[in-house]
Amino acid sequence: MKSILRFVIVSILFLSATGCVVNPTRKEINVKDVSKIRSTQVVSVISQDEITAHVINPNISAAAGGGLLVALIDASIIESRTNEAEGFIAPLRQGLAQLDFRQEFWARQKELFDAPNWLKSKQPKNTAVNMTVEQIRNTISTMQEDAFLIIRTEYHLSADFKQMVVQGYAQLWTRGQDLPSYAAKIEYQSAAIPVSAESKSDAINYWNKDGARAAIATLYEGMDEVNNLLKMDLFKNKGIAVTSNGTTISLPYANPKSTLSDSIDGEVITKNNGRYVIKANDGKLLSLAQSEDFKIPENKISRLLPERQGNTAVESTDDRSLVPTADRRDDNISGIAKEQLKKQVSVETASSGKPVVLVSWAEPGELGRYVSTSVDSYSHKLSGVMKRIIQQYSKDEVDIILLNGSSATHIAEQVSQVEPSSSLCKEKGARYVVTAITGLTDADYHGSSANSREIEYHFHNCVTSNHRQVTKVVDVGNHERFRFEKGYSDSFSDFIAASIFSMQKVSQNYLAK
Amino acid sequence: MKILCVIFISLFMLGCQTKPINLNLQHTQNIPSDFNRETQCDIKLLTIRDVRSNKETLGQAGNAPVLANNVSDWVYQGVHSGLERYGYNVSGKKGSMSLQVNIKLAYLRPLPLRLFATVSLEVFLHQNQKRLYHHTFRAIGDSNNWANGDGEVMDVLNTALNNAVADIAADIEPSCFRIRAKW
Repeated sequence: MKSILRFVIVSILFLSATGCVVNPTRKEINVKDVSKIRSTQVVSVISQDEITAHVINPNISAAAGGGLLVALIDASIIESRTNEAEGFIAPLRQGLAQLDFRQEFWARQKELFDAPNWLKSKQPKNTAVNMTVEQIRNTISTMQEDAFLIIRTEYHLSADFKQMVVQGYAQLWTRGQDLPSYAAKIEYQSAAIPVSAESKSDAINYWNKDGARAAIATLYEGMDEVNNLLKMDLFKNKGIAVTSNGTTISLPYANPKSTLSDSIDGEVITKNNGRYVIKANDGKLLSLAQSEDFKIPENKISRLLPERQGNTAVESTDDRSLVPTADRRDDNISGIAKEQLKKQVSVETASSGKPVVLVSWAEPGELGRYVSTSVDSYSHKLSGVMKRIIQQYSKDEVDIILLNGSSATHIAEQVSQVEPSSSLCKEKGARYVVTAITGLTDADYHGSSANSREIEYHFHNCVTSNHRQVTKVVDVGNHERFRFEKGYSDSFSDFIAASIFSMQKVSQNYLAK
Repeated sequence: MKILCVIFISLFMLGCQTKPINLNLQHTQNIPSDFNRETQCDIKLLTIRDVRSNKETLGQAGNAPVLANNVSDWVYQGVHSGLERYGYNVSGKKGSMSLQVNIKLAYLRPLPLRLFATVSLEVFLHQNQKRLYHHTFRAIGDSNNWANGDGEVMDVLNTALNNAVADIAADIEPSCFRIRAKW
């Protein structure tokens, strides 16, 4: 009884992981079949919508010789690793939002099929829907062509996030046969990026910097390599046999099954630009870098990519032309708020020649929501929000940045998470960043708040990196003006202005010391 | 023994399930809300544009492709009811601002034990044909994958959509405020 249950569990896990279909890594075509093929139907499948990270199956159950308990441990480890990987990879997915892997890959594949080939194939039918063995057999039984070629492509980061991997799997089925006549697993791996083995967030930052340039360029290289290997193996050599030059080599390799093995042996087929194409012992065709020194590939398309600025981990596509000018900003604010703001700006403009005041506000309903959005790396999202606020309310360079935030709990968390002070120093060239945190509560929305308010100030000197925190109780005016019964009102602007006024005074006192 | 065999065969079939899951997408609210004030903002919600690179599937659940042909309607329902939930007055015909939503991504990732759904929506906010705001939101929903059932798949897709709409509601609010205060 126990053994049956164990078998059930292990079978489910195994079948879930393998997708129920055991595909041969390598099968070379029979020469007789080559002559039979006068037309071929082709399907190219990319079912993946975004990049993933490989998760290694610990296979404790296999090592332990089986057992229900260890099978469950395997399952829980896989789940834990998957959840961790999903959390880390989110910013890269945002960075790669500009790349449509499917369309780019299929465009390259089109070139492959444009040229006349022995398969006498037309252009592939490109699809996101994978086919089962049963569906392939049904297709073969009804199709007009002599052969059916299916190419499946996927891409992911290696388990340690340091290498980009693009994989292709091609099967050629000929009419009248129950199994594929040809099968080839093809894999491209980039060199490992130079980050520490333990830091996945560093790895993601590396792939993502400068508009995810490294990730995009290696993916392009991977697409080219997979297509080139397919061209060499199936189109040029007719899937019969790839010829090696008689030498074997051991190359760095991110083993998808284990972290213990980081190299692979194989017969050398070609060598070009520091990359080897080898045929591994299991028949897989691999395109691997010899050197572990990572360089962003200088492929044709990556050179055509526009120069990118900054880190696009934040998926922000704000239209910069809509950023209000200082004048328009003034026009946007009425009453006391306008007067107060004008006063703040004029004081500092006179002394430094640069704008001083940056106004922003944040409430639980806005930033708080970002804090509660878990997996999508809210710190990046918060950075994006802060950047948008800055872009809206400041010119290119400022001297002092004042951030007025509300809801102490959320903003304090935000300040510690995204360190806006240091990043703002860099981004805006400011000398000082002053963050003021006020505890706007639900009571404020209903007109019951007191006249005075505790404001927590964070003073950050960009030059010396000194950081100082001060808490002050300030008078923010008559509470009757701070009603928030039905959404925002002009009184909210007044509240902001009063807070800024207080902030400014405290800031000036601090700076004068 | 018979029962075990039935369980085994059922689970075997589940592991092997490759038959497409055909979903009749239905929007439901399934996330809590802490956003409880009236914004008094009138929004005209324009027809949703489906600009997904992959319009064939909504990704995969287990090994099965997830298919649905009413994605735009589903997102329209989600955005409409979601914004109303967060205090906006939403209409398909009139409003002080018009909201255009493009669907960039909507898919499930094929993980063995969990369902992960991602929804990415590009949002344009206009007033008098002038663009006030443009941003792309992405959100996820996740849950345990117990049986690869239609209900589970639908629920996790709704979670992702609702999370995205919650972010949109929070993010466009300052624009709404500016309109109200005649900024």
